[in-house]
Amino acid sequence: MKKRIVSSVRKSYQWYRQNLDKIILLIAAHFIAVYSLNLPYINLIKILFSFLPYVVDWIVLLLLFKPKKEFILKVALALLVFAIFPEILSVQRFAEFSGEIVFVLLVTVIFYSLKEIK
Amino acid sequence: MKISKKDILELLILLLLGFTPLLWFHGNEVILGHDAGLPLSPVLHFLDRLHVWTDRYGFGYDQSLFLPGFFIHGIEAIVFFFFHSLQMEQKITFIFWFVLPGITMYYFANKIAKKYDLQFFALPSAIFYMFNHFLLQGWFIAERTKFSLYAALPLLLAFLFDWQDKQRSTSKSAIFIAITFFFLNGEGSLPLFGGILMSLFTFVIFYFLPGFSVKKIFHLIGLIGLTVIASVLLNAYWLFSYLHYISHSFLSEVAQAGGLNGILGWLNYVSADSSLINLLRLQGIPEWYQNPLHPYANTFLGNPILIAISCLIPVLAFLPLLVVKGKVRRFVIFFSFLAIFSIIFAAGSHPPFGTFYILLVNFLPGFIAFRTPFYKFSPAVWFSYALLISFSINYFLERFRIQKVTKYLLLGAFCTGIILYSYPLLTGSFFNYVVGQRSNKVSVPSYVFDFAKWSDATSRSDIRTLVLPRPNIGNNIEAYTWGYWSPSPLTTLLTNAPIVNPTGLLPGQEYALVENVYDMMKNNTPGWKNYAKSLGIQSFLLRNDFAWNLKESPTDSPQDYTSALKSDELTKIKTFGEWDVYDFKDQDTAVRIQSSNSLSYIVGTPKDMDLIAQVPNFNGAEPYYIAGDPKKKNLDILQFADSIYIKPVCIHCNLQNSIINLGAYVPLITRSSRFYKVISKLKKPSAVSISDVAYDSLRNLLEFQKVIDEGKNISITLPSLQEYLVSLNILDKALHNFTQHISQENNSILLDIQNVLRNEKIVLVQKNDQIKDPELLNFYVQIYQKLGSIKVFVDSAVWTTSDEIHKRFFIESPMSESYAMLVRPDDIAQQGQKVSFVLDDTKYQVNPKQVENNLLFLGQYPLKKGIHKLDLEEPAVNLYTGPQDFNVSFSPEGSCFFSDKLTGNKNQIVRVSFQHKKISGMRQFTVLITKDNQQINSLNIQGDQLRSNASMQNYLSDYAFNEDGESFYFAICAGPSADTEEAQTDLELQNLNIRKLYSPDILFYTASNQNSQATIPYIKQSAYNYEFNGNNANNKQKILIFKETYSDNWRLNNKSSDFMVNGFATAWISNNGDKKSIIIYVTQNLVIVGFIVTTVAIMGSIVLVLFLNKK
Repeated sequence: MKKRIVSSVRKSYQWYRQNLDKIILLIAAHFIAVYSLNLPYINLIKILFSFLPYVVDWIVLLLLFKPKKEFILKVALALLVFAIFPEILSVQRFAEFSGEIVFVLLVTVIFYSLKEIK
Repeated sequence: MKISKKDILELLILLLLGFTPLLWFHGNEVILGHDAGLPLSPVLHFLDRLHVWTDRYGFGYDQSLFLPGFFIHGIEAIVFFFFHSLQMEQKITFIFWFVLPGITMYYFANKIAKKYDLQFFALPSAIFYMFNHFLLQGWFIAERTKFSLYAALPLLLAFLFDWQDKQRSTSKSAIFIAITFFFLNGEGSLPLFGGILMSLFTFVIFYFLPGFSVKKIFHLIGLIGLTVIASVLLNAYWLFSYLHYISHSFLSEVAQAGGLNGILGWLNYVSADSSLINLLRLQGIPEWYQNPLHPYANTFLGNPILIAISCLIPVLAFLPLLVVKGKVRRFVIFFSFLAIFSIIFAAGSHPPFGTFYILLVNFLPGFIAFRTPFYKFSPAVWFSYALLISFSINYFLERFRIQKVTKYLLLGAFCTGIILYSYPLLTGSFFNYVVGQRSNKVSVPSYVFDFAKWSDATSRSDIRTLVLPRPNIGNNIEAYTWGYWSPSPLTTLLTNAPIVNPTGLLPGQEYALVENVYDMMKNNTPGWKNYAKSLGIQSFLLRNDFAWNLKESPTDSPQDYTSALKSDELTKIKTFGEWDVYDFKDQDTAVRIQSSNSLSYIVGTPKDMDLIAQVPNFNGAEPYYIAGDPKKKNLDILQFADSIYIKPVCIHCNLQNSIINLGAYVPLITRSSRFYKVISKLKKPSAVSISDVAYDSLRNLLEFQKVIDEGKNISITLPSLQEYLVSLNILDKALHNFTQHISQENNSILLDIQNVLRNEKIVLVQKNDQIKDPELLNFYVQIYQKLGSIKVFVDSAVWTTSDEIHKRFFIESPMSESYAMLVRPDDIAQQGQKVSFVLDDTKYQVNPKQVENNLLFLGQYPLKKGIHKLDLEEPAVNLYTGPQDFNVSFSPEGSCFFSDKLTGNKNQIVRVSFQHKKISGMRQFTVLITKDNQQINSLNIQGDQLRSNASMQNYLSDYAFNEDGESFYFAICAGPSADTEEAQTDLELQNLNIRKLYSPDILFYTASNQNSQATIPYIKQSAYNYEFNGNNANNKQKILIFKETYSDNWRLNNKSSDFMVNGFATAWISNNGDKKSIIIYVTQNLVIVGFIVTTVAIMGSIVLVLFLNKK
């Protein structure tokens, strides 16, 4: 068990080391997006669409890490199953948040799937 | 498509499930009420809907918008015609609407199933499409319009996919689509097409996805063009008059929905729970969250198993994206896209996409119609889910290596699960939409049907009847002790007789006229009968079973009208159980069309008619024209006036200043911004009106306030203040020019400017403390003085009431005459006293003469044509008659002091003033005006905080309340004491004074009574067609009055109406002599032409389809 944990931590560490430049780029993109959208007058757009910085993050993430659509869909479906608990416990904020994440994931999967239409 | 044994079996299962509505009816119950609109007399209701003009609403109503209900109401009428039983009719039509979506979905899903060999796909799709929470919510009011488009959706996509796959030609596809929407048209309600539009957009996107070519565009345009042409021709029977109506009334419909602001407010309300997670789980139905007594929502929202199932629904729906491969995958992607796309719209204004929806409502023309997004767009979500979930079911069942029988058993279990998940459909419990309080399943008393039969008889079919008591003024709810509850008047579903109900469909002016009758009848005010007759009201229906004392819709008791109905001029002619019918004794059945050689000219509003009708020589038979009502240009109506009534307008009598939303005038960019210069250059050069100049000065001051609040230095604040001074100087100059010609309109502008200046003064006083720089302070003082001088000038120029005693009026005299002046003091005690007033700078002090109903005659006064000023002195009366100086003790547990019951008037404002001093104790007090001295206790007090201390202080506050004119109490309360040591709290009050801030009733009139009126016998061919012989042998110009709601579409011998009389009716200047005349509502011609076009189009479509098949 201990070995497995150590191996898992090591693997994660390796993954982070290998993708450090991408992670840094992602964080930088996030800050640039947040900064840009908080500039005077541009922030009006952000007031209207508060989710915009996260959309930028998500696009950058998709471009950098290129996750498979099957993986994204599995995460979305798993999140939906997981959403049972906040719904039962009436933690509406959390349930709404997971709904928004699921929605973005589904939109991504469908967007990727459109290529299949011939 | 060949029909297999399996298809027949599955169709039989669907038909069997279609009998579910039979489980809903018990005893002699029928479905009635709320927004169901299910008629009690289906045949008569259907026949009435073939005409664009109906007598069922108010004083007549253009029902062009109802014509598309031809098929929905036609089916009901046919079934009722054969069975003569309302319950049987509802059972059969409900079965039809219940099974129809299942059949159409089965048609579509079975096509996909056969093409891609999906064994377990079509049946669950159809069952899910029939049994779900969207339809469940719709069934509580049997929304047939919604069901019709819901059923049309699968057919539309089936035809489109067939067309795309070249299985059917463009022309044939267009005809099939057009025929689908010919029968299933959603009663022509554009917003209900939300789901259809979503599906169409998705189809177009997917159509072009594989490749974009000019040929494809032309192909698509061809289909759309042919579909539109075929649809227009097939639906011509309603489309022509519908478009005619919409082109005239769209803006008024929006205004009736509360304008854009009202719609946005409603949008936020209905979208409050349409979160993405709720919509993904097929929940978020507004009623589930807004109605705490919803019959089943709490089970679905609270039961952990049902919550778990709801979260697994989207898992099942989107799983096919992961598991389904092959050619059928294009449908999986299509329906997934459609579901997600529709959810964005169904969420409405709910975050995160709410702003997008609000922008569409604000800026996309016509999108405002989609004001209840959940119900309009979610059919496409349920449609997609039905198919996607069936893909999952099919995948699992085909994948399992088990016996076929077991697979079918599992399919049966899935389908049963789908049905059980919508279990309220099996019991009919969803009709009890407020559990224990309201239900749409009611047993209608037999006397209601007896009344319908009697009122629809030829002898009564043209007698205008007013219902009593009136429904609640705010929500117009009609509720009966036997269970009916709806904003739709019962009589409109029951009979085609002209029965006047105050509903939301009545134009505001007509609503005010009817409210006058109710008010006058309730108080048995003299003149009410005359006034009712002027509206063409000949009869009264007193409903003793009216649930008048409901908490949400309180109204008058039927007994409130007893004294009025006991009048010698009325007779009770018939009783139907709890319903009594009273007619005027001097019943002239032909009052609908009249002629008159003169009219009364009214300067006032319809609301003023209750006062005018009380003047002893008011002639209810003579028509009256209210100045400002619609009239044709160049028509001198005054030439027909033999009497004039002027209701002077009291200016600012309630002493309440309108509230200016200062936030809206704070500039976004101030001179501290780097963009200021750019924005200043882009700014519009100059103000257009003097109001603009005043508001410009306010903007400049608020800019100064903003830079001060931002702590900017003098290099910014001083120029800002200088700009404000410049704008004040411009205003000052403009005011001197403007006040040279004072009219009533100009005075209103001055009042507004006075209010702006008042607000500016408040801002200046508030900001005074923040000015520290001596140079700026010096300039600030100059500005304050300048503002003061302008304010003094405006105060002297404006004609307005400035205190509680001197009420100031404008009198608009339409012609030079000697007018009698009447006044009704607010307090009877003043009736013996002298009345002082100033009329056009001449002072009068008159001993009044009592006339009738507390009206005092103050003499004759000559008034030239034009505007006159009146300043009436009326001492304020203290409504509180107890001792004015007294002490009140409040117990440690908390208690209230209540005045005696004080008499109130409708919509009045009362001013409360007193001096107060705390004698002992620590607690604070609350002052309030309340209708109820029973339910108030010291813990649920909501009112004005009274902070008393040991020294005597003044209190003065105005209270606006009392929409329905009830009596009220003045109260002071103290809550329970937290200090256990405190024995009691004592408060000393002095000079307690409660008085009304109101506009006294004054009337100037001249009445010669040199008039003659005659009713004209006519033949009513239909609600839109009247024939008569002119009663005008000497060919003299006369006024012909037609007592149906005014419309330009009414034509007298092809001549459009000339003006409106009696606040609602249509009138012409006529000199037709004795000739035969016809009054006709011309829009009906469009319907007749439309029906001909439709008939030809149906035959053409059949021929074309047969021809194309042969080819």
